[in-house]
Amino acid sequence: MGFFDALELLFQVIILGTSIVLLTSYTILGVVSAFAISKYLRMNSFVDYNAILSCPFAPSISILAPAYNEGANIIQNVRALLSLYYSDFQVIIINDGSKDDTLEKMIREYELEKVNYVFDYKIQTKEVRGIYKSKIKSFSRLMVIDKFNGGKADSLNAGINLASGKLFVAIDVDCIIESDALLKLVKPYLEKKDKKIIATGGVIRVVNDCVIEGGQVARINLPRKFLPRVQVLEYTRAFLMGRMAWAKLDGLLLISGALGLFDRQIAIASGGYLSSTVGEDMEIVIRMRRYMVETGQPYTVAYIPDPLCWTEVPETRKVLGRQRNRWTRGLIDSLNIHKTIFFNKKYGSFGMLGYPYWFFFEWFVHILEFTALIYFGFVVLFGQANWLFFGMTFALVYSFAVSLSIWAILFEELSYHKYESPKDVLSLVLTAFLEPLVYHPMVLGWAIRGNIDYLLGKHSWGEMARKGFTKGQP
Amino acid sequence: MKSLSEIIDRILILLCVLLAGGSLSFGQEDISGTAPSDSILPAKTKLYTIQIAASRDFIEPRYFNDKLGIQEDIRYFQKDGWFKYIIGSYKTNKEATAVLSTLAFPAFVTWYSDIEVSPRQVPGLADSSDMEGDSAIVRVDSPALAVPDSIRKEQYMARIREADSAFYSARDLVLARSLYYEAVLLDPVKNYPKDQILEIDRQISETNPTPLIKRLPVAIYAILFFVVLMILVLSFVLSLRTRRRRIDRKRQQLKDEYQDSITEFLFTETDTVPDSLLKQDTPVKKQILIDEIMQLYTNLAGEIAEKLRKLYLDAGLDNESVRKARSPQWHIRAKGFRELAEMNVQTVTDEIEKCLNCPNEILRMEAQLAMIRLNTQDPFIFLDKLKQPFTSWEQLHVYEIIQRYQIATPDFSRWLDSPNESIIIFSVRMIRAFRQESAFPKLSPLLQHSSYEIREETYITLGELGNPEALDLLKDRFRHEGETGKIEILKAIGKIPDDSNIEFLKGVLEPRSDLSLEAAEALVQIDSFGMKGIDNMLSSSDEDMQAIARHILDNKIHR
Repeated sequence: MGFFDALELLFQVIILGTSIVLLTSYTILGVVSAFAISKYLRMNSFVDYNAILSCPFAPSISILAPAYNEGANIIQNVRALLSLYYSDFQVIIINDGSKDDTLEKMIREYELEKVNYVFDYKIQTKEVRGIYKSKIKSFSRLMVIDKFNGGKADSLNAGINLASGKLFVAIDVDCIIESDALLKLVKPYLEKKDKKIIATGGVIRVVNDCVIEGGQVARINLPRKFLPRVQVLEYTRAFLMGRMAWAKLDGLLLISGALGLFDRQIAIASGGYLSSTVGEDMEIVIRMRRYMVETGQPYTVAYIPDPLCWTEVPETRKVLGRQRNRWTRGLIDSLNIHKTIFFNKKYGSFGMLGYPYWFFFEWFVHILEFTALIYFGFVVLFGQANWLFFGMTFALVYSFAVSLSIWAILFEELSYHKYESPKDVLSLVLTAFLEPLVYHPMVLGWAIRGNIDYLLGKHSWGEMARKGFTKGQP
Repeated sequence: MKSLSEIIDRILILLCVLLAGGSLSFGQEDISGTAPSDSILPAKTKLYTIQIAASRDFIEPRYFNDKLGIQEDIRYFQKDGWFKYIIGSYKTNKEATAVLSTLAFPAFVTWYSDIEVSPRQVPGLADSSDMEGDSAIVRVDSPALAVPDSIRKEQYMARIREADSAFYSARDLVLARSLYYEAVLLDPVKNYPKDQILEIDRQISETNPTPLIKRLPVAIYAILFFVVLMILVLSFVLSLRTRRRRIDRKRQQLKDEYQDSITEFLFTETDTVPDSLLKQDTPVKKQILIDEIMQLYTNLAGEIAEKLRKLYLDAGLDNESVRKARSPQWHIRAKGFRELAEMNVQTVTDEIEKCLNCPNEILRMEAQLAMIRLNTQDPFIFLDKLKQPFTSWEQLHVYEIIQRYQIATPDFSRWLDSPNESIIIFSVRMIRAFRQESAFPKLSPLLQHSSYEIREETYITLGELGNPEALDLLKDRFRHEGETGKIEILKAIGKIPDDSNIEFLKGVLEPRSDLSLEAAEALVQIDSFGMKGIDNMLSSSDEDMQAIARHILDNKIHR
């Protein structure tokens, strides 16, 4: 066998091996999730979250919400945050050098005035121009930081510096938080025995085309357009199958940037959010985990399979592409910064399972797939294609992918069944059939583009255009 | 008995596990390439034989019978371009070697383990590919040494006659096939034996068809598997919705009926429970009724609450709750405990006590809460027996029960020396919540406890209790703590304003550190320091001190 023949054979073995391992791992994650969610739902039937409200020793929470050019919805978003159910919490909005009237609107609406707050730069951030509090007693929980623009990570660090809570929640200000989200997020902290809970995440749902009233989701609708609808499937798979299983295996590397609860002391000790990356949400979880391992403190990262937050997902290819590009770059950043964890026994299942999984099946697999497509192009060009084998393999992977999505729909149905109309379920099923053929190639393209942009040193977030929540078909 | 939805949940999970296992199965053999005659073959065995000759072109084996003077049948096989001729079939090497020693011509022993295709043709021998050992045997590798054409033609015709006889008369398809095959070897040009072989193969296939199941590749099965899975799951999802709607409608209907009946019963003069509430024939109906009663009972008091309890007992619903409390399934037991505690039924306190230390945290918590409600003499005795960690989650439920039902609180200092640290933490918290100032002497030793959590709770509690005797103890502890502990101590000191704190706090205030602000907050509480002290800070040249002073003075911050 010649050198190139051997190389080709090796390449084919890698592709086949990766595919088998990938499909197997999805199956295993699905099974682990099924058991974990079933147990959670059973145990949750006994939970009275209202007991936390009257508890004098429930930990204090600071909600940190960076805001950049959020003038369109900032008032209703802040009002919704102030209405969350919890006894001891504060809301800190960080105006990150907005160019619109975000700050002015808040000052007017909440009668804010500048206060002489001693701002402690425990974590270095861009300069703070002022700290505001409301004259109105009923808004006493609200504080606003006005600072020079530094990005989301920088804003969150400023919020951490100011926060007085033992725990902090990092949110996207334009997300809709369920009114009992704080109660649910804090529960793992209250249940902890011997391990410290350093972070907790929950399920993020898609709010596009839902009806919003009074800052809460009044009626849940499935998005009408294909792109947000296929993201519903994606999020369902990711949150109900993937993350639930990883939390159970103690290999969860990511708490969504839209909503996550963190231990403030540990976050400060770890150095806070990294401003130089666009994947700050993943990077800080990895760093906090590393900090706990390296200081010899037993810990865990918890996950609640409860829908806690609703977010608007991109509806156009352009904006979605920018988002996925950024996610890819953020992922590469995090993996690169913390590469010492890779298959490092010292970090337990996080280093031996979680990190390698993300490395191979969230980053490398896109490169492998793209290379395989190019290879297949050459095979076809030279008339070497075994079309029968190709057809069967394609049909196998396609049918697996679709059945995985349908499994996810079943999980959703058995757990929270938010989409009540049978038409919505059938629409999701149809989307599941289209996704591998229509959506997946786009995702692959964006991921490859993200890799290229990373190599070219691109660090920007890109503009995320949002249409706001006001409209929805009742 | 499990509810239908629980059964379906379990089946579904089992299905998931099976399907996961199924999707990992790639274990079917590839049998698409086997010849039809393989299906009638016996199992493999290892047999020894004696090779006597080899040739490049096929030679009728009887040639060697004549040439070498052998009486027994000679068989042949093909390997590496040679036809090799063998005699005998022996189970051991020893047997074959014994026969070999009796032969008058060169030969050697070899063996084969493949399936025997026919009495004449043997598929392949294990080690006879190299010819080194048999250089002395007859090797016919030149056509010139082969049998002459005329004799070959006679051999061909003889072979055809034998094959036809085997095929048409004896109906021995295997023998006929191998004879036709030899005919092909003797005269490759002729089509007749080839056609006959095809016909024999067809007939063998018809009588012993290779099952379809063996012919389809693995991938097809996997694809079918996933397609069937999709259909099953979808059907299940859609039927689940219909079923759920139907069940919800029925439940709501029953709830409404029970609500009306209960309300009517409660607000009439009669004490007799109506039949509509007495006779509940299914566990589901009983559960709905229990839930309705309990929901009302928590919000009622006095005579009406007692009447509701009487309804619960007269309808035999306590038996249902007791049955649940004895269930082997934890979630049903926990529900039973809750109901019995709520309705103050003492029947199974022994069962409840058994669960006070069980590993299942939900069951353990429900048992604890039930004991507090039911054990009126010493509701918190479970704290003496608790070996498991008493989590904050469990603690807050105990606190909530105490508040809601106005349960008499014990002296929580009783547990400040518990071997279970989580119980100590709970006790310190309760001392703080219920302002048990008499606990102070027992709290003080906890300042030296090895657990930071316990010390932290103690600092907070001492601050809340406001006993000035705590001040010296707190100041002594200050230098032993890290930043977090120091902040808690400063906060506690700030809650016990006293002139004796001034010098200590000034020492913390300057030079500027992360603790300066807390120290300033504590200082400003002391009347004698108060505004004068702040004015001094404002007029200080140190900008940090000025900033702290402005912070302290700003009422808007502390609103």
